[in-house]
Amino acid sequence: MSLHTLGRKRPQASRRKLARRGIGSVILWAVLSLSTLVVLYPLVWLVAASFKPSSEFGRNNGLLAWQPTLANFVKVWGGIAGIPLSTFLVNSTLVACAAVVGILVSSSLAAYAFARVSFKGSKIFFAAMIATLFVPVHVLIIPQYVIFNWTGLVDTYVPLLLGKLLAVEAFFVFLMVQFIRNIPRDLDEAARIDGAGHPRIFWSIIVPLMRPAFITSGIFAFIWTWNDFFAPLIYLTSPEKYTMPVALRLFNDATSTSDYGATVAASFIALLPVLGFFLFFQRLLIQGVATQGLKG
Amino acid sequence: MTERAVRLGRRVSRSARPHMSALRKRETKAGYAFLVPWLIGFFGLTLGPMLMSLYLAFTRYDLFSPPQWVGFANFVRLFTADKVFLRSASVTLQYVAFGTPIKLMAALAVALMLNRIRRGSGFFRSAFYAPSLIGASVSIAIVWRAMFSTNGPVDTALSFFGINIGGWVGKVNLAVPMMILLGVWQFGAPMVIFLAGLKQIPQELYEAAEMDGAGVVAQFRHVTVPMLSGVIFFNLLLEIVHAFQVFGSVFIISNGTGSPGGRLNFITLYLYKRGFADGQMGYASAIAWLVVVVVAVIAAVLFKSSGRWVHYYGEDR
Amino acid sequence: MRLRKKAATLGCIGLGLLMAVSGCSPSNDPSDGLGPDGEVTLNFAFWGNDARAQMYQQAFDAFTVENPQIKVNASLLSWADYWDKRKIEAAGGNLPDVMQWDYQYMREYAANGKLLDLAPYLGSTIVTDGISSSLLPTGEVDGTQFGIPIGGNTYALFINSALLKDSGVDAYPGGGTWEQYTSWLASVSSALQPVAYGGADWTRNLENFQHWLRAQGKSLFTEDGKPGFTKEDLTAFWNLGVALREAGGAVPADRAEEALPKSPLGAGLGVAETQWDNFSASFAADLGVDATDLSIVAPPTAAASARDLYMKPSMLHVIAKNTKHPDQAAKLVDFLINSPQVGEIFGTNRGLPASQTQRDGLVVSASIQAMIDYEASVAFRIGEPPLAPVVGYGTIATKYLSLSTDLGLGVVKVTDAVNQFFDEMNQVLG
Repeated sequence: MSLHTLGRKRPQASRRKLARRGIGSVILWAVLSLSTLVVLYPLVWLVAASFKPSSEFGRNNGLLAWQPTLANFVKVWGGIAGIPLSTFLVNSTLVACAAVVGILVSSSLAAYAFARVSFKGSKIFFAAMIATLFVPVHVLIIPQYVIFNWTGLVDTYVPLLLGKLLAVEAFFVFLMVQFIRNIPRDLDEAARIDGAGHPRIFWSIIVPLMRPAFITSGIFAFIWTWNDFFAPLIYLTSPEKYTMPVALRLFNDATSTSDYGATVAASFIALLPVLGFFLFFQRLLIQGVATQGLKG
Repeated sequence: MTERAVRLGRRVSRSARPHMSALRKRETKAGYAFLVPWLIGFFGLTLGPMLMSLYLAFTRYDLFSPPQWVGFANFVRLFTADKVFLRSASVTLQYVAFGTPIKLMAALAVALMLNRIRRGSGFFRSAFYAPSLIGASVSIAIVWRAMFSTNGPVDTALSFFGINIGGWVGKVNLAVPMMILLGVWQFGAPMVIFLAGLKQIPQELYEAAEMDGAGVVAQFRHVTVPMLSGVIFFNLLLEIVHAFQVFGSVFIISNGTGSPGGRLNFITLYLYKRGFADGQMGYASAIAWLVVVVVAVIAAVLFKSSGRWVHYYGEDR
Repeated sequence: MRLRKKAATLGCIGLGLLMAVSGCSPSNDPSDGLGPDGEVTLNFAFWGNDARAQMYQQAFDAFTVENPQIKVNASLLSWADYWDKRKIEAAGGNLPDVMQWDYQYMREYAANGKLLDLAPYLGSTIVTDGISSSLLPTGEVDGTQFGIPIGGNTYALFINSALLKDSGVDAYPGGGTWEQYTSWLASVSSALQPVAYGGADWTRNLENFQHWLRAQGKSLFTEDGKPGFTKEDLTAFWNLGVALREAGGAVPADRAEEALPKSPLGAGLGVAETQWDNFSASFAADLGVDATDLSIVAPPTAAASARDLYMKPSMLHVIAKNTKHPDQAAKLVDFLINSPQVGEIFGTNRGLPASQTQRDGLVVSASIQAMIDYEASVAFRIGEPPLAPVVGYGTIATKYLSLSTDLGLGVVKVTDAVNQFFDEMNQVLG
């Protein structure tokens, strides 16, 4: 950096500065490490608690179990009220996968239109799309429920997925718009000269180049849909259709009085896919989040 | 070469003018074709419902019988006869007003620290980001409740320092702080955005400031903050909107009751209970629109003030 | 070219996934419940927990053995969700065929024509001889029988004997005045705190308020659906709560909040608690002890010779008006009410069985005997059951609970709380 210029000026000052920087670095590292421990503690607690037998909760307030056991997981696997845990996991997976497909398809179409097609009204609709990022969800919940109730779609997965299929989540559209804008137009132009229309350009040129955006969006879409609690809560009324978050709540209500260990183990299992995605794709996720703020 | 180009150019420009509107028409058709799903979603699932909600706010509607028009009765009741609403609005505003700045300051502070260290920043960045992914989940709500109960980890840790207040979960004065801590715990997402913004600030600005004799604090005030102001603005607005929308966490932690003393009855939870448990959907819609108005006012204020403190890189040059 | 094929396959998979997920549901019964060979599937709904779910499964297996053409498809929900879901189904006209029901919601659903009139089946498909004559009418709304009580409960006072021993205080003999009970609670608290306390704040239970009113000859609601008590009554009652908390007899409100969803007694925080007498099994399960470690005595009363207690239907079975198989549904109801096998399976999980034939099937353990003995011991205090609760009783009860909790937490004063309660109650009663 500017060590070069400093070095020329006053060697003593630079050495002092280096030393200060060295100690500064160590202090920073210490603070950051301590913060990491504190921040990650809840996760550590969750993992440790899931191996604690139910009877120890309330008596053993330490982190580690006196007699670690796998019994909680065994109990949890049996599910609740005759519905095995695997049913809920499958439900969540199906819904999340379908959401990913819906989001990728609809958001990329919309993003292409905003980024590459100069159509009349694009500015207004783009602004409208950005505006939807800031619309509080309260004002949508009840009317959407009324609509779905009126069309007899309550207790199906349609309400959970329809919005995804219609690019309702502006985050993904925005992310893809930013991404497409960064793709140079030369290839478009070349294809245009060859006689390609927008659909062709979209399909053969843009989509293949959007792989990173698709992967990032796909992972976020999966995780957010997996964790979604509100929509399944109000739309799913048959327990066998529950996704993990609502099943977890049923679990909590029905067994936390008698079997807190099972509730904790179920909480842990519910987080595993999210943590898994995170561990494998953290760089992509973080990059995806970062681009959101730039040129916001 | 040039001759050919000129001839081509002339041919293009001659034929270009009458084709301009046709091209635009084609582009517009194509644009809307691509936009169809989004348009259906926007009008059918966003704008349409918003307008319906506005209508419902002036009715009494229980989902069974058709809505009955009641004029401003819902709003009157909200402000004059509904102590629960006033409490709910109060705790939600406390959460937004205190929680958001603390969360963003933590995010900025950590981003600054990460920006300084050479090695290991990737690891820390990931570690701090993880809570953002799971923070709003049911699992974490269960964990949070356990952690803040009597003799839980927080109680034990505080007792270590001689602070013996017991569990936070049932205490009227500690419930909102507990939720603020949950929000702050998820500082990773805005932190990542700040970090990206920090990395975009050209080093020359810092060097120039240093040569002008500016110390670390002055550099922060005059280089970092202005350069980050766009990002700060965006994060602030987004976090405020999200703060108003907290639901799952308070629902699970309070077992759906919003207690203790309604301190966890954040506005979304209250809306849910009124609309879905009590079947008073008109009333709940009125609450929803109050939230929209408040958010819109806050956004307007922010936008208005942004003229004074938000700079975009490239504008000053 | 390759890309197009790959994309096409992905698209098909995706579309297929979307269709599969939105269209089908795991329990894809034909909508009229008729399978091949005239096999009928009935939908059954209940609230409770895992233990009860397993019991029902056993019961249904036994039922299908006796009635091979009838299958039962059961679904469990927690208490609050249960009623939310029923409301939605009622609006759509597809309530489950047979349901577990609560007294509080009888009037609302019967009056709206959602429940089947059981008159054609009484005495024939649904045997009612063995059912106590004081309990059977609780399934009526305005003279029409819509539900059959499964079991009966009487209010009781539970004491955690082991915890009491630690305190060194003598056991509460039962009965007595509320003031006497309060001072006993205070003495237990002073011995055990801060690990445990005398008991739950008994003014939080609407049932105690109701019994307190009944002891004075009043009632919660009158025949025409108006409140049977005044603001002064409620103020006096809640002031008893203030006295209780000042004396230190109650588990502190914030500790009780934390212990949720366990009750103070179930969490080991309180020695004594008033509750319906079939709660001994679930208290014992919460505490992880045997039910015999809990003793059951009579709750205090505001007037010594009053008949303040009553036999409440613990729960009832009802049939939805929109059922397509009323005869089979009636058969199921009869089985669940009267079969001795069911009695053996459930024990007192759903209350002490209302039907004598079912009671005969009970495997009388020590705790069940204790419950039977208890009911016999308070027979002299049992009076006429109150009328089927008014429409909106659930909302009123919830409001009562939240206000009394707030009182316990100290965030509201009694006068203010009473006003708020009456506001909400009048809103609901319309």
